[in-house]
Amino acid sequence: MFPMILLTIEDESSREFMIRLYENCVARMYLEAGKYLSEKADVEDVVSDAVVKLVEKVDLLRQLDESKRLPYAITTVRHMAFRHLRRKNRLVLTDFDAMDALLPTADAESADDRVLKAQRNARLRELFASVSTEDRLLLEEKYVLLWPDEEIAKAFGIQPNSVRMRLTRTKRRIADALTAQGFRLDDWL
Amino acid sequence: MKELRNSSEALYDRYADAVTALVMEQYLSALAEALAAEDRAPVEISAELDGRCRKCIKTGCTKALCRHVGRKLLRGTSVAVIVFLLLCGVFAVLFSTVEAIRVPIVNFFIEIQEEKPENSNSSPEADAAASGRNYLEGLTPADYELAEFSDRDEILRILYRNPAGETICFELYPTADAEASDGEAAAAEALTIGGCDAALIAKDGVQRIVWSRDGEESICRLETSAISREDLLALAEAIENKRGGTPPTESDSKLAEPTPQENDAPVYDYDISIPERVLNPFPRPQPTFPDTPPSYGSLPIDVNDVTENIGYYGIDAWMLETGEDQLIWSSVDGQETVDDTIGWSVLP
Repeated sequence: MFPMILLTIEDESSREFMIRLYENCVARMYLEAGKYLSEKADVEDVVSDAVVKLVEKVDLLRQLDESKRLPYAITTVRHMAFRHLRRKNRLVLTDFDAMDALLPTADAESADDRVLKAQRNARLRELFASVSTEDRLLLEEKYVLLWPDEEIAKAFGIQPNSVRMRLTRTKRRIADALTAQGFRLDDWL
Repeated sequence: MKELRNSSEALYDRYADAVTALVMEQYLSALAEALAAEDRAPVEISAELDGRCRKCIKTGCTKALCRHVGRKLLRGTSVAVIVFLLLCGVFAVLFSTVEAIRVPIVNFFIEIQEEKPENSNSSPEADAAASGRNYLEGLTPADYELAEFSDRDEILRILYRNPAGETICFELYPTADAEASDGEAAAAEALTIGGCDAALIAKDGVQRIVWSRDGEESICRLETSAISREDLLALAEAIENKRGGTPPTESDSKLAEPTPQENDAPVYDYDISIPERVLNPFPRPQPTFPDTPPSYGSLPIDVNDVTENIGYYGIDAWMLETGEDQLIWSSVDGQETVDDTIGWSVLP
């Protein structure tokens, strides 16, 4: 009986957390999906799929810092949109425009920190230009969405070992590009 | 850096791993800043999508929780099973190697085994009732009560005991092999019980009647030290009658009253030869003793010490006199050498 009570309490707590997160993020998620999908029905499907995915990650989301939850939700819905497009054979893997648009470029010249952030974003854009869209998705799923290799493999339709090998290659490419930029650790901290 | 990667690929991978983590951390920060700075245009979410998402959250949270709890339970069960197996292993090792642990446990189970018949409400009366072969029922003197009843493997044993501890015991063996004739043939008296050949043996105050029905291999034995010879014979007749022989005689009624016990072995006037079939159920040829005296260990057996040929569970056997002990030596037949000796025993 006692474990059942605890279960109920924990269930209520998780549900309330998810409802709050959903209410905070659903509009942004809808907009994000709309960037890649033109049809309303597709947008709604993707948002719904993203919510299901977020619910599966409720424990992880509760551990994340508050400021990282919205990027997590947006990244999730973007990945869902890409998957949706891929299912419909409408995803052009070499098109970076949509993803680059995420990183702000403008209105940061006045204050020093804004200048620094603008420089950082420029470096990031340059780095991500060195990897394919699929590799960038792979990096996001590994480092932003914190998916395990098995889940990434399932999303990509490959073996978990292949995920590790692909990650290694992508990280080397990032490291090479970073070295080519003249990597200075102070620039990134 | 290329040289470094070639010389130490693993080291470069660690470097790549670290810088990628740093880059992705910065990317996430940039993403959060971009989202925070983004103008929030009003978005109208359809009621259908909203309802679908809320339903997903409701059911999904419950499923996620169930999965979470299931994983925990599975992990807990696995740990419990491993601990149980470890304990079993430790116990098995201790049980097989440490006598101080093994002995009390074995004794415990032996005690349980011994108490089991009592726990299952088993009693001689119940066993006798279940068997339906209590041939002594109603035939013993009034102060005798059923003390033991066993009817297993076709061997029947009924024991009545009075408050003084005196007993009347009736045994029925399925074959004549079971009846040992351990040298008492000399004191036997031939008679008939229910028309069957019988022998009455009296030794050390104990009277025993042994009889066998014609055409049957079973042997009956009635033994007591408590009642007179006449009562014993009447009791044997009554038993035989109960087993399906001739009707009981008037003497059966005498058994209701105990008679004075005679401590000394009775002396009889009978001069009736004991039937060979009773004394020696398995006729055998006269023994021929081996030329070489048999021996067992350091104790030699001289054929000259053979005092008597006796039947011992259907096997040729001879009574020997060697020092203070009497030995029974037996073999498949008397012409075998000591190598073929199949058994012997020392009688006190």
